[in-house]
Parts: sequence; structure tokens; C-alpha cells
Amino acid sequence: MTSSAPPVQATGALSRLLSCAGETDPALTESKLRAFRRFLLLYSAARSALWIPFLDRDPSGFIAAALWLALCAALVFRPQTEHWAPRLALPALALQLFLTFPLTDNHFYLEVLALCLVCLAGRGRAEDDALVLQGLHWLCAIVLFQTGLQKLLYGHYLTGDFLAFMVAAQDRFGDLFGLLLSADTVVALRSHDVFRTGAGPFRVDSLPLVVASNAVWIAELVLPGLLLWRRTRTAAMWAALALVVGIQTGAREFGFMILFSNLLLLFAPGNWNGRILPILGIVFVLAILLVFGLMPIDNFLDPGSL
Amino acid sequence: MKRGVVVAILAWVTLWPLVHRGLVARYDVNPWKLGAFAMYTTPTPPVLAVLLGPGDGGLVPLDESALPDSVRREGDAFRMRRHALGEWARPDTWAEAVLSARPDLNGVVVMVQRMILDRQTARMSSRSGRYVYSRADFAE
Repeated sequence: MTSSAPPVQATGALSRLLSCAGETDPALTESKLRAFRRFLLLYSAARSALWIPFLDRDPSGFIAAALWLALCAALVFRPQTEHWAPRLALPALALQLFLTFPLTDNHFYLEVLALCLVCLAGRGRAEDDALVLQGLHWLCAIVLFQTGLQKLLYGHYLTGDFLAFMVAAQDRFGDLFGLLLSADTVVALRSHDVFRTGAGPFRVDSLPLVVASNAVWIAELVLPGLLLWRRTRTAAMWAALALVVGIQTGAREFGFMILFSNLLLLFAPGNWNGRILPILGIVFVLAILLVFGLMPIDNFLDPGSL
Repeated sequence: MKRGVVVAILAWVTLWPLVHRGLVARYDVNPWKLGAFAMYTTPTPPVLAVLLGPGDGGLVPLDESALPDSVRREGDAFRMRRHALGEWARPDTWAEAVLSARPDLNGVVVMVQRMILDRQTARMSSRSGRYVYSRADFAE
């Protein structure tokens, strides 16, 4: 009897830790999860379609995956098949991972992890729904924390060097932060050849840039804890949403922005994932029309970033 | 069982980025790749890789454009792998393809260089690797 006590205690502690990120209302849990499941498969299908025109290799595997995911996205809207659709989608994502590795983008890994969690939910099983939502909440919080921790560990955000480099490299991410610098400083930074040894320094005497640079990683480290704590959850969710939408719009990383925003919205007091799903559906259709040349494309939008 | 899967996924997302940070430091793995969520932490410009062969009493650059398409594709594939996997990616198959296409060469050197942003000086510096192959390395 005594020998089984520690594992039982550990399991109990783990359950409590998981459940602190949970939702108290089972009906809301179910509706949020249904909306997220639908979003995720629509997103996967749209992303897969948007990859195709940008391929520089044999597209047959990608086309097959895109068609399969489109079918899964249709199945997720049928109550009889909604729980099977994500499980059917997993092999297509595995194929895409195989085809893109090792250059696979991080938001694709996030998509795969979220889909793995969603696959665990079963028909009419409220306990599983609660567990999956807790898992998605923790996934979102941990990933947000990791992005801040990594920025701290690499050290370039403490002095604003990375942002200054991105301004110099005329990266779209740098364009956003270039707004915090004087025109002269931007010109000086862009005079460096970023591909030459010794070029630089990519360090500027600009308080706004250094403050913004540090605010990013600090927010990414602090907000996850506030998301998990019930009393601060909603405020933290809106703050994190503003951070992610602001930065990712600047970087024009729309795919990551849409995926991560939907993960964050799972923390909302109501079913916001369900409310914005029709809008996202329209966005996905428009993006596909743009990429396949069925609508004129504007330079601002780079659908490849999806 | 399902709880175990959830915990395993969350443990992976928690621990892998820390392991990945070590791999970046040790093997020059790309921080932006392999799912460790370290994108936008440090610049990772494309890898420069060039072929050198014997000539004029020393080493001279080989004209890659004069090599067959299949050999150039090997070079592109190496650059891509190197960009993501760092020192885990070796140019062995590229070098072998070059020596197959150029029977006149007894050996080939692959020079690899990646630009990095130095944390102390905030200036660009480089990390280089040099791989020396002789025809004997690929003898049956």
C-alpha cells in the first residue's frame, strides 16, 4: 500500500496542475473545443493549399496532403465525423513534416502539437474535452513563455541589437521597429552590409527601441503565468493577443498570428473561437483566391507567410 | 493514457527548447528551425559554401556553374541542410559527386561560412568550417 502512495500523489499533483488551466463550464468547454477543432482543420487545409504555388520541387505529395486536409476540414463540420477528422488529418501533416524537414517552420510544429491534442477528444466524453482544453491552454502558455525565454537566452533583445539588425537588413519585421528610430539612424543602420564580417555595430542609442525590445521578452515571460491564473486570465489574454497581433502583423507572419491568436482565444470567457470562425473562413478563401491568381494581389500581403 | 499523452506533449514543449539551445551552441544548429520556438532571436543569414580544388600551387575556387546539374543540386541540398542542421550536415555526398564529375581532381575542399551577430560587439562575425576530401576517401 505504502509503495503506491508516491505515484498516486504525483498523478494527483499533475492533474491539479493541468486543471488550473482548465475551464469550469463543461458546455463552454465543448463548444470552444468544437470551434477550435473546426478552425484548426480549416487552417491546415488553407495553409496546405497556399503552400502549393510557392513550391520549388515536385508538388505531388503536397497536393495530395492539401486535398486530404480539405476533405478532413469538410468532415469536421459533420457531427458524426467531427472527432475522427483530426485523427484522419494527422498522417497528412506527418507527410508535410517529412517533405519540409529540416526547414519546417516553427508554427507548423505548433499546428502538429495542437492537432495531436485535439485528436484525444472523443464523442460525448466531457472529461476528455476538459483534458484537451487544459492541454491546449498549457501548450499556448508554454510556447509563449519559451519564445520569451529564448529571446532572453540569446541576449540580443537586452540591448536591442536584434531589432537594429532587422531594421538594417530591411526585414519586414524590422520595418515595424524602424518606426521607433529617427530617419538618420535608420539610414545609418542600412548603410551596413549585413553579410560582411565586421559590419556594424547593430546597436543604437535609442531608448524607445531598447524599451520595446525588452518589453517584448518580458511580456512573453510574464503573460503565460497571468494566463494560467484565473483572476488575471482575461486581461492577460487580451494583452497577449495585442502583443501577438501587433508583432506578427509587423512581421507579416499571418499564419503564426492566426494560429496563436486562436490558441489564446481559448482562454476567453466566451466562445470567441466560434465567433470569429466565419471571418477566418472568409480570410482563408480570399487568401487562396489571391495566391492562385483569381484576385489581384497587393504587395503587403505575402500569402507564402501562411 | 490520454493524460499521459498530454503530459508527454507538454513536457516535450518545455524541455526540447532547452536542449535545442545547447545544440545551437555546440553544433551551430539554426535557432529558427526544429521547433524550439527561438525564431526572431538572432539573425541567421544563408550559409555560404564554396568548393576549392588544387591549382596554381594552392587551392583555387571551382566553377560550380560548370558542374553538372545533379552536382549543383547536391550543393543546394547541402546548403539547405547546413542552414537548418548546422555541423550535423556534412558535405560528403556533394564532395563525392564533385569528384565523380571531375576525374581530373585528386581532392576537393568544401569551405562553409555562416554569419553571426556577435553578442558583445553587435558586429557581424563568422563561423567557418573546412572539409577536406581526397579521391581515396570515396574509393570502393
